[in-house]
Amino acid sequence: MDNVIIQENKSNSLFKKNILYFTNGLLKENPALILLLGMCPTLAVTTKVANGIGMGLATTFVLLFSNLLISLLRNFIPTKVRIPSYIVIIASFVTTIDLLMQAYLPLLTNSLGVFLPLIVVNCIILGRAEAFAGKNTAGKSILDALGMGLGFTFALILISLLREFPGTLKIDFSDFGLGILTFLKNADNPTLSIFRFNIYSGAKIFTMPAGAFFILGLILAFKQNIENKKKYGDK
Amino acid sequence: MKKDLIIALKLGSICLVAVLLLSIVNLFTDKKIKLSNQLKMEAANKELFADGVTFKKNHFNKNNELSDEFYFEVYNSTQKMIGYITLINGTGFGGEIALLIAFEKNLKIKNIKLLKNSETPGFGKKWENQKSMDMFVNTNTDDKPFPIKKSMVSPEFLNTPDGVTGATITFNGITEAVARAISLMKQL
Repeated sequence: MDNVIIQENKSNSLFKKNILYFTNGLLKENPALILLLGMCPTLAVTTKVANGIGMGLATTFVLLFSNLLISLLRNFIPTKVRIPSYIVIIASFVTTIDLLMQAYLPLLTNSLGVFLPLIVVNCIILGRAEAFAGKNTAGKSILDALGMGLGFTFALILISLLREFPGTLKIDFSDFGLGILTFLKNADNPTLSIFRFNIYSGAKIFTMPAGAFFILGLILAFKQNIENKKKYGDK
Repeated sequence: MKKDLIIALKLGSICLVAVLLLSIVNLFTDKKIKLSNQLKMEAANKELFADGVTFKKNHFNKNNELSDEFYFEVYNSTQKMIGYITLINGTGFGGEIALLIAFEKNLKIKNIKLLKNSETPGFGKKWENQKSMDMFVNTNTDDKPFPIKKSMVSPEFLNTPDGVTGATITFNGITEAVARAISLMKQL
């Protein structure tokens, strides 16, 4: 009887331990919002929610497969040439996703432009390969990749949502072959109006590069505020 | 020596596997990518020459049918030739760009469209917007030469928010490619 309980506890803690590898990337070490890695795509492509989703999922795909392969090959890859080996593996998966997206989502490839092939030099991916996948088992590496990738995707969606909607008053999913989401009439050019007076038709600054810095800064400040309250109380 | 050889062999084998993987992916996607590019081109042709019905593809160099620079002779519904559409390649900020240029019969520019490009979203990408090409429309005549430099662009186009500011290299890439297309078309 005691044995069963101990075993249950053990498996429970094992599960808890493993789930930590996943949630670590989602929240505690979110690559974009906490570690501030991969800032170039984070700031540049988040003009549209569709771009954010596409970029995030493409990065997750590359991260997942490169982490898996690198962790499987970690005893095969010589330490002296590990960085070139990682780059070759990462670049192959980036080219794969680039070709797949050109074939099946040509509109999204157009709007992501040069940032899709540039995933090769995204420091999140090389960073995880060097810091995690090169030292851990395949299972842990997959969990880590999923957590980091989805955490990055979440950050991109959050930033792009806060940029696209105030900037244009609509969310454009036409790159995925879907419609445009807006809460106002006239989907092409939505305008907020009261008694025929046009009050607000979107502030362009949010979709301009400066808007990216503003929004990211505000998110980081908000996050820091919460953390400080947790740490020091209301003082 | 032997150690280095093993390291080189291991790195080489990783590269070999990568090449294999990529060739398999290419095998699957190549047809689909070519088809989507062709559809894009057909749609763009129709957009540039609304009254064009038949587009007859010709190569600048008759001996080089594989070249990716070519032109279409555009015929209207009564089979009269009304102009040309030229596909030309150039170099932008983010690498290769491809342009479709619609000429009238006297080589006056009717319209330009930026096709394939890897320009920066928010800057060079703006040239995909048909409105930014307005500054080139109806140029390349005797009294209105083609504006190959920024200083030659009519001032009314420079003060718009979506003007050339911030994307000079893309602008230069476009004008260089168009100038080359004009000289190629003149040789015909």
